[in-house]
Amino acid sequence: MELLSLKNFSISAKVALLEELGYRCEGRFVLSNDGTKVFDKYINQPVLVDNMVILPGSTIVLDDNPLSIASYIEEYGEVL
Amino acid sequence: MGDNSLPEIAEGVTNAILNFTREQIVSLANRFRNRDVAFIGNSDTIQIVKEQLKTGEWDLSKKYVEDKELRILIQMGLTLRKLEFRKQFDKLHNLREKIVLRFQTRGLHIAQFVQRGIFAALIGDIAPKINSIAELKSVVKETLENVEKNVIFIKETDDINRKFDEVKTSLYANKPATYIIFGKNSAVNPSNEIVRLLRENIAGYAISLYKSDKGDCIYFVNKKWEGE
Repeated sequence: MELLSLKNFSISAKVALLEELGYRCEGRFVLSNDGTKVFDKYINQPVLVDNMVILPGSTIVLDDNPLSIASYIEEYGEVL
Repeated sequence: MGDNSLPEIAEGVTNAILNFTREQIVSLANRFRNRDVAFIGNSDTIQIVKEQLKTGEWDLSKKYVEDKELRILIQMGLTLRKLEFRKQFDKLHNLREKIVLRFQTRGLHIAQFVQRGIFAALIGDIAPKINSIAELKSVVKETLENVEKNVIFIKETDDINRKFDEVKTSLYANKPATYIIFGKNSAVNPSNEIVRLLRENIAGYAISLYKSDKGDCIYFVNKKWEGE
């Protein structure tokens, strides 16, 4: 699997990608299609567009930090 | 970028901020759905996580720890240690905050137990004394889950008699299989004094010392096993 860094994406490219994947954004926050904030399920914090990762497994949007990434790998295996 | 081909966007290849055409975004999304790509943030984050999964310490730990929460906390302890080694203190503090957010202070203490090398030393200390893997797993789990009760961190300025009383009370009240006294650098001497008092005053426990390569001392106060 190829890993592409969102750090190199312009903000408009990130927003367009989120929309294509069924999300939205409002200000700094990632929103689900129904307008509610998306929370990182491993740290229970809202995900910010500036610091998000988008990982496979029914499209998982998380905060970019070692705890969330390690938890994802523990749950889904070393798919990355 | 007028066609559907993707620019070189893997981090490290370019640091330029990239825009994409509508077609390119659709193509990226389709590749994502086909599990051909994933979108990461800073490549350091995933790299440091994966590095810890390749360490001998994790290889050893994962054999004896099945609880998912404890496994994550062990990985976070290894990650904290790496961030400390790299002097990436902002990331270290950020990770500590995240650990507390999810696992409260208790979780942070378990991760720090691993970060300080105490967990690896514990396995090395008890493994030769235990008869079965199941028993080893059980002692490891009990120790990790009770880090706050069964581990004491000694500071240079601590009152030795007061700390000795604290240790004694813990041993009598909780009767742990293993109790741990940790003294970092300047706290080595007070730790030695507390252990001297323990040896003179407490029966039924065997005490062994592990010295880390940083000069920290870790005393394992183990309930005596049959035959000891």
